[in-house]
Amino acid sequence: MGILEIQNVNKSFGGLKALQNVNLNIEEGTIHAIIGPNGAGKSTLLNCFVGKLVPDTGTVTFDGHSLLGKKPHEINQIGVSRVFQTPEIFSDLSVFENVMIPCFAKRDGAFELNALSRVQGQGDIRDKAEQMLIDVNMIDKRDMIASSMSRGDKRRLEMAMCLAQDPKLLLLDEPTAGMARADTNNTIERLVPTTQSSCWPKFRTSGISPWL
Amino acid sequence: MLGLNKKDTGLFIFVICVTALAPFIMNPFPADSAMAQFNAGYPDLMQRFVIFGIFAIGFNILFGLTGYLSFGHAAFLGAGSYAAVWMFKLLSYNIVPAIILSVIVAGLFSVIIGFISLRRSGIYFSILTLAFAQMSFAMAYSVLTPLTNGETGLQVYNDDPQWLKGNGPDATHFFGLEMRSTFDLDLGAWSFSFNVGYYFCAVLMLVAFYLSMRIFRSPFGLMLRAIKTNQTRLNYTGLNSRPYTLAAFVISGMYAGLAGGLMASMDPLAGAERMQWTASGEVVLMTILGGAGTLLGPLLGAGFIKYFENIFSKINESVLHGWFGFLPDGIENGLIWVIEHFVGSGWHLTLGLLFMLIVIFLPGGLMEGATRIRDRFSGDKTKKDTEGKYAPAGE
Repeated sequence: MGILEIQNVNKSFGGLKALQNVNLNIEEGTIHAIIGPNGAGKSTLLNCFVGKLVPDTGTVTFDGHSLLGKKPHEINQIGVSRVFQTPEIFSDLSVFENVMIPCFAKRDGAFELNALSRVQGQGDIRDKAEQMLIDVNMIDKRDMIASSMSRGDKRRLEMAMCLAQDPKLLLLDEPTAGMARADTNNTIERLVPTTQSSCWPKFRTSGISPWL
Repeated sequence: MLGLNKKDTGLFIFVICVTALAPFIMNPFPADSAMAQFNAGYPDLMQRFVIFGIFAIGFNILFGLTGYLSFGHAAFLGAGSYAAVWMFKLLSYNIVPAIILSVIVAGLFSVIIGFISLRRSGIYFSILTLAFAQMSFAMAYSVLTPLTNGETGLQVYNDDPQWLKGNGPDATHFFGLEMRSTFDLDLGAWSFSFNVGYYFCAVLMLVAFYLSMRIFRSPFGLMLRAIKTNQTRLNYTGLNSRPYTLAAFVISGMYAGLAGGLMASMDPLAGAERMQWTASGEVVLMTILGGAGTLLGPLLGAGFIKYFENIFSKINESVLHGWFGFLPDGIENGLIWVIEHFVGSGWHLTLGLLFMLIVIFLPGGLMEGATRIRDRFSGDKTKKDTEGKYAPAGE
């Protein structure tokens, strides 16, 4: 019994059948890649996991919960994080704030009216965000405004934001597209320990990433 | 101090000093001089500065932080005013219950409007809020006449019950301290007035300002800013943006209700025109002019607009003749013919031009101007991008 189970998923856009009878079973602690040419439906499949699209038929079960009809934030709260194809970050906020937000989401849940406590007083969140930035080697950029960074750095930041939540399932949509060879290797090296190494003992992440 | 960092504490102390000394600052010219025209230190106007300051501070929590542009905030201002006058009619002229009720009523009202309007974002949200405010405005004139007294406006009559009045004063008061009582201080040619109503509003404005500072620096404020920059990412990060925006909407609605209640407390009248779209537009102008998303900006914007509204509209043809009397007649008349279109009832033209100039050259509002000047003098160019809007909460 895998942590993510997809059964008979179909999705069509008008006459185009993007997904046809997809069955997939993903075990905990494993890394998978979904490969296919442009337009094969890789991103469509990922969109079905995070609540962006609802499949026409079939079931998507994660850790015992059905993901169909759930809102994106509910799916995230049960442990699915996603890195998008084009970096989705909070571009007007500083790098450090970008990483703090998922830490808050992990600690406080989907909504918490923390209107009178101070961001500066949240020691646990700040320590965690700081550690995360050290892990992805971005601590020197912590006070930069996110939009002023290079595309590769935005990618790394988005990955740090997803990893900060200790997700059970991490979805990466073309994580190394447009990256230089060296950066690609770095990214892979950074992702592998999330499933194997002991430096992040709490991790039970499964990685899925579509590579062309 | 008070859970603020050093920079914010400094800012807060600065605002406290300016509001406390406002009767002096606003009256820089001797009472009998020709420049007395530009004195703004009379109670009525100073009350309006701080009341609209509260309104704009609240509006900024919604618009400045989340980017949701509401065009219907005057509805909450009007609702607050009506609620306050009802308390005067039913209980007494004591303003405490009036203000409490006005905040509650505006809060409930904004829960309803916010719940519906926030299902959409961007221009659709603006249109929805505008529609609701205009609907309230129209209803105040028609079906709700028993509550609002229609075109006459709601006011206190002699035969109103005023159950708790007893021997209390016949004007709005704070446990006996009348809002209209003013102490005039004459120092040589100068004259300064210290008005109870102004100081009461000023204290509440400072509380409102303090709360908005806390909100800006809180995790809640961080989430609101995150909504402004990328709502999709926030949802995929496991946060439900809807309750956040609704909370911001209700908080700013309550600020508007407080402003409305104070307006009625200074002058126990409430009319439907307070709900009109022009009133909603005014607070948008104030916030943008001062600098949306900054702490001090809305206050500056409110002061700026109210000052021009009251001072420029007072200048009429005879005043201009007094100023330019030393010129030859032909030139004098020509000059006055040009200027009189920009002052008096034409002051909106001046405001429009100023607004255009500020939006084009200082998109961040007056606060951006202040930051640029400071940076030029300190020679520090690196801070320009980050500090003007909001200091990163990370530091």
